[in-house]
Amino acid sequence: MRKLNIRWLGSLPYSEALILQKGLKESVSKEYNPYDYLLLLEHNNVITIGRTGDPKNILLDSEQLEKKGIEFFETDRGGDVTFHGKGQLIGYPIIRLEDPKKVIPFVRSLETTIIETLKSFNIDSFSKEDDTGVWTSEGKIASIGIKVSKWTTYHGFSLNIFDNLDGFNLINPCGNEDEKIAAVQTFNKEVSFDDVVKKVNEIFPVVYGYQDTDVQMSQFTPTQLKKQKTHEIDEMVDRGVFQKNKNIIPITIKGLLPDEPQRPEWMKVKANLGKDYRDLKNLISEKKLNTVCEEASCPNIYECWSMGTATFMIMGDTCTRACGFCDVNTGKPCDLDDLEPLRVAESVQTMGLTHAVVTSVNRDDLSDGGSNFFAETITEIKRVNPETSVEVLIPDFKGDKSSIDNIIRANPEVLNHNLETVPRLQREIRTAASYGRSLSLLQYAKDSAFLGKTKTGLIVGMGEEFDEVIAVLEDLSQINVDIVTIGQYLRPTAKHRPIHRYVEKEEFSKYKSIGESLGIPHIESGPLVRSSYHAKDSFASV
Amino acid sequence: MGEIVKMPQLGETVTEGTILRWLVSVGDVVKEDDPILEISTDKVDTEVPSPFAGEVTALLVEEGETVEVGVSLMELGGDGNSTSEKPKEEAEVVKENMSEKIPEVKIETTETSTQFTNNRDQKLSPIVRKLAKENNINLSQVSGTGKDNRITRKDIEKILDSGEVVKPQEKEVKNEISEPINSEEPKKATSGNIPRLRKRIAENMILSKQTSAHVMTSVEVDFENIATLRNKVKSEFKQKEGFSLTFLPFISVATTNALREYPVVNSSFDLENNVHEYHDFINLGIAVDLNREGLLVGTIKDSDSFNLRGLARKITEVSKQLRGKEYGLEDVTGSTFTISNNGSFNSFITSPIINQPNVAILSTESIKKKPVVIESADGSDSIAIRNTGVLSLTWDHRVFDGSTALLFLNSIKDQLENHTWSEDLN
Repeated sequence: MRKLNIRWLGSLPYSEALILQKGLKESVSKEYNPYDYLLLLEHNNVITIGRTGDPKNILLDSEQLEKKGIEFFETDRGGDVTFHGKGQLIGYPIIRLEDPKKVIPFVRSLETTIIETLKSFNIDSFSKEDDTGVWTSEGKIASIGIKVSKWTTYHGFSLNIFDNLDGFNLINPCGNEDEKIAAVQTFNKEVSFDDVVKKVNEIFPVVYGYQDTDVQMSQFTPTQLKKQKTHEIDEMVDRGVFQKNKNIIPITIKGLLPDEPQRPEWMKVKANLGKDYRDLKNLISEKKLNTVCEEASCPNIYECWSMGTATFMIMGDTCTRACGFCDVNTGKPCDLDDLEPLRVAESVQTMGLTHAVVTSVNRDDLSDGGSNFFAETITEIKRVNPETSVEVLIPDFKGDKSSIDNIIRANPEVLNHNLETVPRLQREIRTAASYGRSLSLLQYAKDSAFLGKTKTGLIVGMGEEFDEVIAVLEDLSQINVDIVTIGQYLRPTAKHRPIHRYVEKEEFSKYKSIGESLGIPHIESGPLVRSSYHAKDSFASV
Repeated sequence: MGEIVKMPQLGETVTEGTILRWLVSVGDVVKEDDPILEISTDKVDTEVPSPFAGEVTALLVEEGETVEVGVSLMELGGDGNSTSEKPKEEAEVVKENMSEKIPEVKIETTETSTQFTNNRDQKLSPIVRKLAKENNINLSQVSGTGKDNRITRKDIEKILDSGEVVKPQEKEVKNEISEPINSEEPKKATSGNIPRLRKRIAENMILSKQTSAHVMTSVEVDFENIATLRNKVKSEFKQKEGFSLTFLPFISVATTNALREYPVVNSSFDLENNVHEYHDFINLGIAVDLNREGLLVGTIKDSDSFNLRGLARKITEVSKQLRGKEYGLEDVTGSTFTISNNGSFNSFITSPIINQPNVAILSTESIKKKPVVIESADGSDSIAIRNTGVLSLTWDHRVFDGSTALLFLNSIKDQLENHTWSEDLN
């Protein structure tokens, strides 16, 4: 009996979710893979059509759709045309059926899951003998479209929760002109999105007979949590009218915020301001470069700099995002400096690096997210130092494929994109990022022409549990990430997120041994590990 | 000779499906598990993987055609690097995979819900039972037109259309949670459920245990000199070759030399036919783990013609080929001696099973730092930290005796500890 990993990913665009599904499908379809997956999420406005579908059932042309901000995808699932949008729960079960005879029963069980979920909210619904989906007295409430490849399922179901899904007016749902659309809130305004997700989490494993289930939930957005509002004050709370002033600097006692643990002995590093350190410091300032070592107040700066390695941070020292754990400045960023790639390349040469690590601030202000500049830096390092391998630590580029393609074309040896934390804490810690998007990015690199290794990093001690970290390692093993770093969170200033706990060394060792037993080729795990710590050795070992 | 791919059954009650599109055309060479066509049923598009490797010789149905379960869809020729050896076995697999037997097997499977207890003995699909129950049709009064006079859905619908019973306006809501797909009871393992590679491995393992008289002998080797050299050249080597320099190539070179010194270890022994064959070539077999989905032995032809760097390249190339399933029969047969690198999974000592028709197999174990007593030239002892590891040899006591096994092992040990390896890298 395999284990079912349920992941509520929050909002994720259709194309990114599809990349992730296909990646997971490849892993799940393997004979000895112990995991099946159920991805639960919400899409932005998108119309999709199955291969057997008739484009005539879309009532607008592509131009009109674009104007309305609706994406359109021809997709490889069964079924005709459907609409996905805010207020609709999407479920993608990625399950190895093994036996062809389980294909249709799988679909029937999906209907049963939805019918039972609705029943728990006192909504009567039914399936039809001659059609697939779930209907109520008020109309169709859930659609199903499945693809089976290598006897493993992907695509799935959509269940309408909010009753304002206007997008259905733009299509003949599933090719049926007369189809009326219903939603959970057509029947019961009190049921919110998260109520439905939690119910599906309970019922799906029962219907499909899973004994062993692991649920990891991203946080819900205010709209997903919102029940039908009756008072104006609820709206005001949602808009943050009563929010506390975030500019107040909290008081620390002996450097500790209230409830913060004492810093243990093993977290203390020795300052080493020897000649090698000073030489490197001079080189960095002479070349007018930034390093993440300094900007992010890395505790390993003495160790790394004394050994002559550093991680360059390009495109300025000011980031367009304000993540709760990171010490890099937030604000309006500077203009790009055309000569910076060359100066980085020359510094790599001066330092004699065989493995250069480059990262950047987030540049959400630039249309390409700074990806072209990033790519140019890689190219320049390789031109000046043909023997040097290049590792890049990149932002998510808001999921933009062409930006990621820019990086991949420059052919770095290692593509690192940090997850930072477990799904539950993503929204608190990485304001503008998402767990699903980051997994999708790492999977996308694996799918494309990228020849190098993928890498990601986690910071622990921010409030996550041991099991949550293991769940992340399971997910990473399923999308074939090559290198993972795990290190202790240190609070840069009193304005940053408090330290929840100091993770013991034994726990770090466990992460490494469990993660590697799941098939991740290399895990660097320890209190002082940062994403580019021992980058050269990690790369050499995979 | 050709193999036939048939329309699979996608559920107990499913009798047909529509060919959505072909993913291969005549003349294409497909591997086992390559997707060959897509079938559309209900709202499911299903890719059908090829049950065996071969060249597509004929497509027997058109796209858009709706065909019944069991209908022949495609003909495969026996070429195309088929990984299977016995056509007989394949024919069996067809039968099992394609579920031809389904109509005959018992019915208490996934969809048979307990609410329809009457007529349980009859072979009826759940839909038929359900329709009959909803419309109060006495099944014993219905004459079936299906196979073996089974009552089909059409038979019921005919009765309903004839107006003999009143059809309710709306269908009953499915109330019960249907029986899980992944049933709780342990899965019954039928021969069809064992992957073909696993089956072959199982057969080979048992055959070997029944053939040879296995004995395991091991020596401990001091790898310090090699570890030092390796650390020195590691990054440059990786930079230049694109892969890491491991201990395995060193051991392989030493083994090749030892095989030349003790040719009996590089022989084949056929007691039944009274033949003992000494090979005048050395083909090292390297056991490659297919990411835990099985094990194959890749053959490095004429291993003694390579130097250290060449052998390192060859080993990397062969394991890549095997893992990528891009190998032919000649890449996995014809080895004269096998090395199994269990050290990469952190082993201490392993007693491997001989790869027939070899007469011995070497297992390389993990190399770890250990305190070792070193005797200096003047006879004084000191404790040093050295990289050490075990080499285990399973050998066939029918063919030679312990003295040969140990002389052979010690020849490898001596080379690993005392040879000046740095010259071999140039």
